[in-house]
Amino acid sequence: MRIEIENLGKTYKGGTRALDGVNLAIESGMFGLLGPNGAGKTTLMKILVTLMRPSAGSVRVNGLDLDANRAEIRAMLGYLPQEFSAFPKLKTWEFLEYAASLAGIRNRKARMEAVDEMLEQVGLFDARDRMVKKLSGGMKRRLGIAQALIGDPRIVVVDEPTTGLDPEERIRFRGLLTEMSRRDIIIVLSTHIVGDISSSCADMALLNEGRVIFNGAPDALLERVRGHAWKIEADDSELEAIKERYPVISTIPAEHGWEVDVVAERLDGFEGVPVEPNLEHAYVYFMECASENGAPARGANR
Amino acid sequence: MEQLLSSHALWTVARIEVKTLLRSWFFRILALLSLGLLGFVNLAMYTDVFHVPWMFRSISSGIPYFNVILLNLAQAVVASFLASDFLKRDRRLDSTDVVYMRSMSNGDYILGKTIGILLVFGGLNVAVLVIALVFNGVFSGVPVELRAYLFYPFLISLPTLVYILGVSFLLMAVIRNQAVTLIVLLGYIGTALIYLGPRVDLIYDYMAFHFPMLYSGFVGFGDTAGILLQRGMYLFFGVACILATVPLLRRLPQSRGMIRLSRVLTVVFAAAAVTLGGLYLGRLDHGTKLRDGMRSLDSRLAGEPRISMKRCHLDVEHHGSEIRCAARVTVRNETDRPIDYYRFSLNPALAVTSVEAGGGLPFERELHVVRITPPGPLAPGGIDSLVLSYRGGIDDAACYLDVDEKERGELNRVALYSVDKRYGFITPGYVLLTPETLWYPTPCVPFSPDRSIHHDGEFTVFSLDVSTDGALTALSQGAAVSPGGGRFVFSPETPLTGLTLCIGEYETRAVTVDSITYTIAMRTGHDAFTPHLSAIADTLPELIRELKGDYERRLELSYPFSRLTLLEVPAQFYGYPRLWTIHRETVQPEMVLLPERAANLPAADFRRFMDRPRRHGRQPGEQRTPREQQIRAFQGFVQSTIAGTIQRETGLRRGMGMMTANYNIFPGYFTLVTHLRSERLPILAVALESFILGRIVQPIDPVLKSFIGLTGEEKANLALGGQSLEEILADPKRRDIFSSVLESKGQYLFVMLQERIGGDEFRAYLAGFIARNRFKTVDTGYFMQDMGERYGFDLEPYIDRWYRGRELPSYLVGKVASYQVMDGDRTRFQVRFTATNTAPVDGFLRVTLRAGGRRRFGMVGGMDEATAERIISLQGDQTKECGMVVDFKPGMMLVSTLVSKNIPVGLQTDFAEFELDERARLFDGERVLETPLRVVEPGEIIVDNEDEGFDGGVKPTHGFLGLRFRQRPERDEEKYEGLRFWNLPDNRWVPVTHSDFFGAYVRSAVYTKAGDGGMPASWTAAIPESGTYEVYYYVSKIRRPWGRGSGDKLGQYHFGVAHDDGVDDVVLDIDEAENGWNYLGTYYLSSGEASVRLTNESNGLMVIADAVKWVKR
Repeated sequence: MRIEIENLGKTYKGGTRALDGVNLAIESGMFGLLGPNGAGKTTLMKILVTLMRPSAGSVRVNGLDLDANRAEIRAMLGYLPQEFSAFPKLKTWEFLEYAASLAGIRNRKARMEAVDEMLEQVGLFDARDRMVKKLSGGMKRRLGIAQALIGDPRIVVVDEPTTGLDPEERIRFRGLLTEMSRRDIIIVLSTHIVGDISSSCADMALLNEGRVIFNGAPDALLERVRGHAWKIEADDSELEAIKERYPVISTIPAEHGWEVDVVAERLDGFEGVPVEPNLEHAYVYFMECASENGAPARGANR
Repeated sequence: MEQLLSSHALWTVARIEVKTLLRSWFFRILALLSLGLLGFVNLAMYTDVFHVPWMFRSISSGIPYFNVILLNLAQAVVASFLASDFLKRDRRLDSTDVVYMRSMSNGDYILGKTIGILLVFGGLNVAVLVIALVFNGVFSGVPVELRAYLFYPFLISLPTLVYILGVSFLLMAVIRNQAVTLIVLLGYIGTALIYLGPRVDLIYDYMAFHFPMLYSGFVGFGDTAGILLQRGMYLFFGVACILATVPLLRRLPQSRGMIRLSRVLTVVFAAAAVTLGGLYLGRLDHGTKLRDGMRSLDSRLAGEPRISMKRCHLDVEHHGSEIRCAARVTVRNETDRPIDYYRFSLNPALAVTSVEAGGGLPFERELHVVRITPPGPLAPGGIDSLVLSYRGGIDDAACYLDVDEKERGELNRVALYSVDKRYGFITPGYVLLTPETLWYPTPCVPFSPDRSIHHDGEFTVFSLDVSTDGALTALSQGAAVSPGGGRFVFSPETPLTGLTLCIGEYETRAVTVDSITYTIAMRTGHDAFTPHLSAIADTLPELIRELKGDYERRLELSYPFSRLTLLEVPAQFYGYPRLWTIHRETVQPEMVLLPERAANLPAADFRRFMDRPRRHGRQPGEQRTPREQQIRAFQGFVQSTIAGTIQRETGLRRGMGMMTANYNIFPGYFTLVTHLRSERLPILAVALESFILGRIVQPIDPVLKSFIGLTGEEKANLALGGQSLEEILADPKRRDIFSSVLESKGQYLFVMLQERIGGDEFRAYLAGFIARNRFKTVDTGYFMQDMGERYGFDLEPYIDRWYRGRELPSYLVGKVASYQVMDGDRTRFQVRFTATNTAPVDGFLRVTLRAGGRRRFGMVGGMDEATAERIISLQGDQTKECGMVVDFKPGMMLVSTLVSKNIPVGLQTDFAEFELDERARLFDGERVLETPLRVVEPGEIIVDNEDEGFDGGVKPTHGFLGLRFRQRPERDEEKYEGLRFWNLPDNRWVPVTHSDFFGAYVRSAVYTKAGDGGMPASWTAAIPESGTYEVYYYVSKIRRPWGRGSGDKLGQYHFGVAHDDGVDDVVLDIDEAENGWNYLGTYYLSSGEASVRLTNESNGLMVIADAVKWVKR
């Protein structure tokens, strides 16, 4: 499976430019979309699941143009939107069965089996006869995941899937996705929780203001920030100065003041120890410093 | 090739839509409400729990029809709501995204949703019909017509739903705001239902609420093609709208092919809808054009000499939906000119194939007219014979040229639904052809707009030989012989004005009484009646003899035929009331065509009638055996339907149960037998019919009359007060009162003759004249000459004055005295009164004493009450005292002023006890008095509500946009309203008439609802000289004429009497007051203006403002 996104742009009616010249190539496996709110993640995903038409550029799935082959591509899709809380008056299993049926499982028996299996997997089997409206927030989220995964989709697009899940559920969900990603399918996952990506994605893109500012493996992202992550010990007055000068990742109270994690090209006037960067450092580094340093070239690791 | 529609996706969407709809509270509440409400309505209508009139229950298909039209009203509203809701819901639900990204076309989605909604409503329809079926089958006693259960949901619900769904989808897709969409939709639904629906030939009636769709047991739908066109139009239009929504759905389309296909199909379906609508209107237009053409052809030919048809033998073969006929006719030239062409009228849908007389004759056809060219002109007195062969069907549009298009377009509402108006039928299983359909050649021109009151029939010797399907029975006039094999031969014994043929699955029962054969012919399975008369089979001949005797005694005529057939015909058969005669197509020689299952005839509800004593609780001594019950039921049916009195116009035209005049056999006694013809005075024939009809016409029920304002008779009188009969008849704008005017004036003319000649003598003469001239066409000139010779006076000036005169008599009738007198050694009942004719023209009063007194509201028929009647003639400016002595105790006296300026026309006096006055002398007769009655005695000043000095102020309330809703009517005929006891007027004084009110000849007052005193009425008089005056107020104690009306509180009236020292408040307790003048007080008044004011304040129900009198001491 392969999705090629070329020069994709989307400008909304009011003139808001949500996507601007996005180029991505997504291969089978999990693909993480990272970016702050408003970066264009949701817009990109809606275009991918044929809910929205791009203003420019094209998307090809296995060589098929998305715009011209909606029927075929829709048949491959599973989608979990970011907002997923209002439902028609249906029971849990009915909603899932509806999704399964629309996903193309024609045989009723096969469909019911798939529904039960999926309910089992997301831990909703006991709530199968409950009305969807009566489910808790986390259960609704799980139902959303279930309906996106049912019917063996070849492309799964999940928008902020772990929001609202407790840590245990989040781990289980990651497991589910990882399990699925072993098959020849593409899972596109958007998140602003860096941990979601670091633990499961082989490839990722960082989006900001409608542009891709990084595309590559999470490791490559880390590589880029290596040597730019620092820990500074500071007292109260220094802390303010640091905050003014550098993007701060974390501030931990220490014996004589504070331990401050920052990212910076280099430290001027502060004593700092380089630390081993994680994705958060990378994320902040890219978000905050990218503009100053010029956007990192896409596919920087290629 | 891409897939346009996927049945799997479509059904998935539909399935989920069904689930969510069934779970939505809105739908559940609606469904429960509809089922509950309809269940209750069914319970009320079709069981014996409530007394629901027969017409609501009589026709089988009416039960599912009624249920479906009511349900349809609800679902039209709800479906529009749900339809607009689903698009809105889709936008609101973010879970919609996970549906929209699935692989299906927009067509799948929209059609799936539509089918889902339709399935749910389909289920609701089934549920409602099951309820209806249970009531129909178990309780109603009406046979189940299963086909109707199938047809109505598909013809009414389906197109309505598809249409309203389509319109809702489309509007929602375009407007994209549910609130606005709903407002637009509900506005449209309301407009379509109430305003547009019943108009413009029902083309806007998308709910089929007004559209006539009653399914007859005889012929099914009255107009299947019309139904399919109109319903198909909405169905297709709905589909077009639904398809148009597909490209408009806010979802990226999946299949370009589907979008293209939807656009193409939208256009195709919209075009189909427009075509169907066009065809539908075109059919109506065809009718209008055809009639216009026929009318102008008729008037073009009106002056042409015409042949008379003396004999007509018809060989008729009935094949499927057509008849093939050969008419062997003998014609005669009865004019004084040679006739070059024979012109016959024949229904335009009947095609003439040949005309032969020895050899073939050339003929031409133009619309309904067949013009035959004989070898040579037919000389005066000459006779010719020819055979016309023709075949085809009947075009209803060619019937009733005399009925105006507006009346023709009016809906025929029976009970809660509309019924088609059909005039003739030829279907494989049923045929009904009356003369109006022109199913056989008639030489007369059927209609002439220039001579709208000309009754132009003639008598022909008919014979008929019919062959039809062996399973069917043919019925017609004359002695019938059936050699078998579907052949029937009819030979009427007398010449007839026209022949009627009916073929169908009939069951007949006959009884012969005094050599007249009475037959009842009903469609097989429709007889719900005779089983209820099982106990009186042996008494039937005697009952018939009695009923016939009663009717003929009253009518003073005898039945001219040797059979009478009551023939059940399809519900859609309709006969219009005619302007110039009481006769309708529902009555034919030897025949009365009764509506299907006697649907309009309340008295046919035998089951209910038998049940009635049980329902109302028997009174001791009133116990009736089933046999007596059955006798009563039978008598009631005959008297109220076929051979009883006719209620004079009730004002509730086409209202419930008021159609009894349609089936009265009167035309069989007179109109279809006696033919007066006149080129110069055709009106005379009408007058004679009115006069004879008057013998069986009951004056309008006084109670009913008080509700309706002016009767037709009174409106006629008001019109005749300013115009002569001739002028009114020449004014097409006065058509609304034609029949009333003709009736009143007709009666008046012959009452005048009767007075001139003497009652018994005139009656005997007339009876003889009619008997001598049966089945002949007699010129009115001959009648006038005959009468003139016999009684030695010239009728001409009488008739001339009657026809052209503008003056009307006006009467003052004084107080009525009533007491018992001794006549020898027995006591009798004396009634006397004085009357003055204040106008310079002669007039008559008809005085009726009736034993029973005031009738109970709504009572029908009944001729067994003791009555006495006298005609009193009053010459211009003459005063007479009249006395009547009778042996029964009168309950009331009605003085009918006939054609006069009096309103109300009938003055009624109710009698309570008659005290014995031993000194009084018996006075039975009339004597002329010198002193005329006066309304105002010397020294009195009276201001009535009709006078200048009266001011019945209108409360200054204004309606919407400051417009006053009610405007003063232009004509006096519309001025007076009915006196209501419910929903009383509270913002104005409403003029009403009543024989108890004060007035010279217009006895009127104004009334209003009792209120707070803010709306006064006042009487202002000019006081000629200063002095002490007594002031009186005229009281009429009028109470509700039903229920415990006699216990109604009339309340106190509050007067302000103006006098020299100010205004005195006077309270008059109406309950304590007497009818007539009541004293308010004595005051000193200076010359000039004096006034009395009455407010609307009262603790009673209403306040009546009538007249005030000042009397100088």
